[in-house]
Amino acid sequence: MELYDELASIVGNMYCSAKDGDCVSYARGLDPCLAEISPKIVVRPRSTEEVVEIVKCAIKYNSPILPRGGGCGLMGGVKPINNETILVDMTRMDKILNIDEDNHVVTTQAGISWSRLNAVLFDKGYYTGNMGPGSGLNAAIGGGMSHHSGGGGGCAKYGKCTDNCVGLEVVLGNGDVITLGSQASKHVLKPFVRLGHGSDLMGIFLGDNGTMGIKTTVSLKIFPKPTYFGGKTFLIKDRIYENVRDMIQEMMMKGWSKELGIYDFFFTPPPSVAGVTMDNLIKSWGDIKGGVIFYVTEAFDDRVLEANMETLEKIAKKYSTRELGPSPQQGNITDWFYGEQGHWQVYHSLFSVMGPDYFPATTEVMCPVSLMPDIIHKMDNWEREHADELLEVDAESGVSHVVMLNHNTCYIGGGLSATHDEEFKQGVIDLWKDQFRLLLESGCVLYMCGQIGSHVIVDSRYFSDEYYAFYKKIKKVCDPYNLISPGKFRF
Amino acid sequence: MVKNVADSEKKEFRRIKELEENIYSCVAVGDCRNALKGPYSKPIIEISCPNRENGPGFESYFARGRFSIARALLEGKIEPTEELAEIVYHCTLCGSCHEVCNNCVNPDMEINARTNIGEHTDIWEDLRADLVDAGVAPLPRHKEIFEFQKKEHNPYNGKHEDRLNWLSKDSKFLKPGGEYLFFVGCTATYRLNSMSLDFLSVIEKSDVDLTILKDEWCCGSINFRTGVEELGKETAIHNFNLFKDSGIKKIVTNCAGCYRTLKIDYPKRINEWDFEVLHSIELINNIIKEGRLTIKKKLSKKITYHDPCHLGRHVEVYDAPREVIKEICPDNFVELRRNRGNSYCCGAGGGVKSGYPEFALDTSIERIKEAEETGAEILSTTCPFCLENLQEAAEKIKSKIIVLDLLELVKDLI
Repeated sequence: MELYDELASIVGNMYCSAKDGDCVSYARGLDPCLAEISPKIVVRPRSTEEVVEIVKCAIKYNSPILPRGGGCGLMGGVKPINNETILVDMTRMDKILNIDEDNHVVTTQAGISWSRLNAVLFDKGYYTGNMGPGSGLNAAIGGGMSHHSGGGGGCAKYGKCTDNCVGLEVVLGNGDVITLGSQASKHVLKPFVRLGHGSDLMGIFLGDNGTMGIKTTVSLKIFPKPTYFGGKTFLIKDRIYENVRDMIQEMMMKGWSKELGIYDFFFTPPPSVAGVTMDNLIKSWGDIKGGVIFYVTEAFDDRVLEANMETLEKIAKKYSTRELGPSPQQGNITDWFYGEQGHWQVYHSLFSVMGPDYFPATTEVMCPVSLMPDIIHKMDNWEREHADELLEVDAESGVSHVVMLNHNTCYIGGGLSATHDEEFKQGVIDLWKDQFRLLLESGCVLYMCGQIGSHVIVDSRYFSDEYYAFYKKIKKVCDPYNLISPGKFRF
Repeated sequence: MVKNVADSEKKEFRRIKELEENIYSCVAVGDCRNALKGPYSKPIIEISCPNRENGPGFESYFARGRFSIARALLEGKIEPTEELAEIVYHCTLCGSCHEVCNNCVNPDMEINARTNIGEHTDIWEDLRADLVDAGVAPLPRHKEIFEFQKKEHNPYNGKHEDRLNWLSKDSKFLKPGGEYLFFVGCTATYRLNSMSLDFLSVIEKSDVDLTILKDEWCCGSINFRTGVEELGKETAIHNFNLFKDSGIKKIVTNCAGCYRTLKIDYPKRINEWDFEVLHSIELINNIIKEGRLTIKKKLSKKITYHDPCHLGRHVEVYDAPREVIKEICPDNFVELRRNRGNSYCCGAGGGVKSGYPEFALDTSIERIKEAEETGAEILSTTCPFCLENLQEAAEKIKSKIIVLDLLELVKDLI
């Protein structure tokens, strides 16, 4: 039997395709310029057993495998790097295996989307807290575990996607299946905690960008969804970055999420605000100039909510110029994002801000809160210094938003916005990498790497030789034939 | 194999080329596969494309993937083939992808890829029309249907001269010069003519003056939906001339597919189009409000309502059927989990019922199960196509729910 026939016999003819139309639809990611290469074959397995058989088949034919969840990668993580790739579309593995309401843990197949999982959890009064990556609720849980994603709602309270993982099942590159977390022990009947039983082996697979194995089952903490929420929006015109930092730090001193119930805190810097107001995209903002912050807080009791809102408002007013609100018609976007729509996807709405055919080439990074103003100033300077080059490749640069995480860290959502124009692609890639280097050299940490970020990490040699060597050894152990997501991290 | 750009020559694809900017505006976040909607205070609804639950489910079956296909055709990376057409036609054109695209709707905010993309279903229809031009579409079953249509002016191969056999020859509705012209449509003529009779029974209880034209042809919906533009235009022009000659300026139809076609597709293609088009449920709602029709009895059974895509998402008629239900059943109406703009397709549209009957039925079964979850005894709708498919699904899974056209209920209660 040939490769195709063997794969079809594993997943069934209906779920195996080498048709041009099917394959070409997997060539695209969310970025505008990394190569779009169609896989050779696409398969949609429905079980861990089928994934094991696919891996064994790939070993037999020495074919690279690319696991893909919701296909929401911003940095080329979901794009095949060669046309011999077997693309494993995980979205058929979308069964919820157990909801342990006694211990607040859900166990699900890794291909389920954040939207489907939360639709079920909401009906039971729960949610995943962190609602997934900013690139959309269509993203799969498995993808969230492969990247320390955030930005899709709830990061200020619940941290990154991976922070809430308490169990994983992974198919390794040799076809072995391992279980990680508490239920690695045959005596633990239901997963409940990540750490224990010695070293944190699960950590090897969290944020691995799909390189160490194929995640098939994930156990996540779930949380009772509070009944009440409130949010405010403020405009800041002076010492903008510094005032936002000081505001956050004062809120942190008052207890942040634990005391004040902060669910989300977003900051939109002035250039992004200008982009929005210039095209009148948020009509209620009029022609405001400056930076905008908004926060959302949740509570189970309306009196607690009221008290927390009062505390937060007092702090916000101290560091801001004026409130935009309180109604959505007066500029308070929280009621729209969280109240009216409920999708809580702030960031991915911004993908369209630049207009038709402009796409994000993002350099999303994490940095400590104290460093945030310095990083954004550096990004502004970088933009000024590269103005001509940006113009040449029809791209723009800037920080579109800053998202707070749950302790001391913020995501800085920066990068380029560029078109698909073939002649500019390499120029955009060069600038994209340059901005990555600036951020890494400034003390930032990449959380989502995909192709391009992982290449910068390796090519930059910012880490010790021993670090790279150790990383390679780990990869060799997990994927001895180097078949899973080859190319990332230069593996 | 997928070809490299350099190896290929660009094909014409004139329609999608004109929409190139719209097509390239898809940001690929994939809400068209899954989306959550609804306010914080209520359980969040998950809405999605019928292709997610049924069929092969590859990326190419969703809007995001279909945009990739259109791009690949424009860039010469793939060739138009019958195999490709099979993928492109595996879509009911329900418009759910447009509804959820980038998931943001607010009068005060316009951060929205959907605005840049425009109407998704228009793009899918143009893509299909380009594939027809390229000689690889429509599907074989559609070609058979169009042969019937060319001969008998309907897709069911019923004799054209038998079109009004369900109506007595001396019916008052055959007299010319009414206030409204009743465009019966093919399904409510050859398959479910009881629907038409129910409508006429209701009308008879009012003072509305209605006329049926003997030489009505298929509205052409199936042609426009499957990209067979020329045949669609031919039927549209025939019907337009017929309407014009009748001297009547208001048209009413009880088929959601005909309604969308007369309301949206005809004006796009016929410059002189100057008719007011109503769905029968809009007319009924209007005359109830105006006191020209009285509901004498009330329904005691629990009822729910399925929004046909062509009436709902395509033309945004959501309130009229609900207002009628409120009149006949003020206390026992319950909404389906996915309703109005978030409604789930019945699975029959876009040429799918004829092209992929199994997919159509599987989709419909899902909708029946959703209706059962409400505890309703009756699932009502306002489209013969939805009605037929939902009834078939209910029968297939031996559901106890009764699927019927809203007009039938109205008829029994006046």
